[in-house]
Amino acid sequence: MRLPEKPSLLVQSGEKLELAGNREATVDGCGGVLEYTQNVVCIRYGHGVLRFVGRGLTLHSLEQHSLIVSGYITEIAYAACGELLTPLPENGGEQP
Amino acid sequence: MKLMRWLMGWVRFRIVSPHGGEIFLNCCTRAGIHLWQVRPGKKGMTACVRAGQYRVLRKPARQAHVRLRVQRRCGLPLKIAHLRGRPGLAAGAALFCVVLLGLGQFFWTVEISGCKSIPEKDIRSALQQQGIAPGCAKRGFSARAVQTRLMEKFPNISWVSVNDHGGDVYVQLTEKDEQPPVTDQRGWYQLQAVQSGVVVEMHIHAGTAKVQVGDGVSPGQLLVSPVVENKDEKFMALYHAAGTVIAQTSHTLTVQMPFAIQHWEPAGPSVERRALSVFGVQLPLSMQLPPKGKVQRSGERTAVHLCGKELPLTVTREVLTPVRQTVEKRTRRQAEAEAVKMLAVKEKTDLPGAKVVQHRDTVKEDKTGITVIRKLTCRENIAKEVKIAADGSPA
Repeated sequence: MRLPEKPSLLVQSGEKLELAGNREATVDGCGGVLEYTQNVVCIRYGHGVLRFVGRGLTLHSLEQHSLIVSGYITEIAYAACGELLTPLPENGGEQP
Repeated sequence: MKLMRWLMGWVRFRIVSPHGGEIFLNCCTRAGIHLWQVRPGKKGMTACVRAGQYRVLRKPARQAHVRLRVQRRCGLPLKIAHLRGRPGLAAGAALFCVVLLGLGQFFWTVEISGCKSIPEKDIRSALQQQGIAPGCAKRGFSARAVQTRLMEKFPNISWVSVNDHGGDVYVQLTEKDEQPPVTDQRGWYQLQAVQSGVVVEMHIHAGTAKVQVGDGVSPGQLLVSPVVENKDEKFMALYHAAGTVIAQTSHTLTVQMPFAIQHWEPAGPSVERRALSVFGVQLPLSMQLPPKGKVQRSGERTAVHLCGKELPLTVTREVLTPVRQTVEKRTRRQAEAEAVKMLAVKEKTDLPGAKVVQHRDTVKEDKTGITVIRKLTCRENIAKEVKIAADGSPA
């Protein structure tokens, strides 16, 4: 029996980001939590950094290489290796 | 998932750290500890972990220089924690499982339905020979093999089904219906004598009489022929010969009656004993010993039912009566009277359709008893229909 083939990019990197609306994000291939507050979740993702901004963010599940971020997500930003993320507003990313 | 977590038990704890708890979270994930419901708070992050893994959090906490405070414990292990001091409960539960599994390996009940002429007792006995009885192990049970053997043993069974449901065996069977006699309307029949005698009366409905009133006949002799000759039109026709031929016949009945009769009579008070049969193992409920010497056994077995279902429990009631053999002596007159009674019964059974015209008894006596010989003169129908083949010989 032949199994369906995975997309070649996923096979190479092993990282995957899946969004369910703007309420939940499932991240596979997480390298660690860098920052975690009610409004910001910043994680190491591959060779870069992934940042979720929103309100009432919680880590629904946290395992060795995956996590589920749930809450009201307003922004997702990614910075590759050597790049910088755009700075957050003074209120720490809290939306009016 | 929630149910699984509740069954395993979980702990909600607070991470107390001046630097935040991100390092601790990373240490936990590297150690393979699964955390969920991680929430930030003013006093520090809170998270949930499986109850069994809470102790493992010490090492990541030391590495991240944080302290942990338990907020809430929940789940089945915590609910039953107070029962840890009662090993009897766990042992009882384990024993229950073992007994349940053990008893499931045996047959509890055998229910038989559909018996009409075949006694249920015989079916049970046949099943027991094949290892199907309350208390027998289910190992190697094959319904198909049992069905085949039952069909072989009881040819009157037309269909049988053996099903096991847990420890119960259901045997359903259907017996063969007796084939109704088919009247053969085709072919030709003649009337033959079945008994020797002298013809005294004839009533011929079809066929040609070959004997007359007053003729003596022997067994097998042709009485009425199926061939009827039409003299006017000069042809012969074959019919189904019918009629009755009454003849005066002779019979001899003999009865021997000894002067001494041996029989058993009670020799003391009866003893009643009860026993409980569980899975075929008898447990005595009475302490009384059986009487010495010869005993006569009588009793009954009552199966215990629960909600209409037979349980593998049987209460046996047995009455043991001590008996002794006695010899009753009779006079010749008593023996003769008894012999006459037996001869009357024998007449009815041996000569059902005969009318006794005359009888004469002869009594012979010896040392042991008497022999009564009754010679009977009867009037009876001696004609019997016999089918003949196309060439005229009996079929």
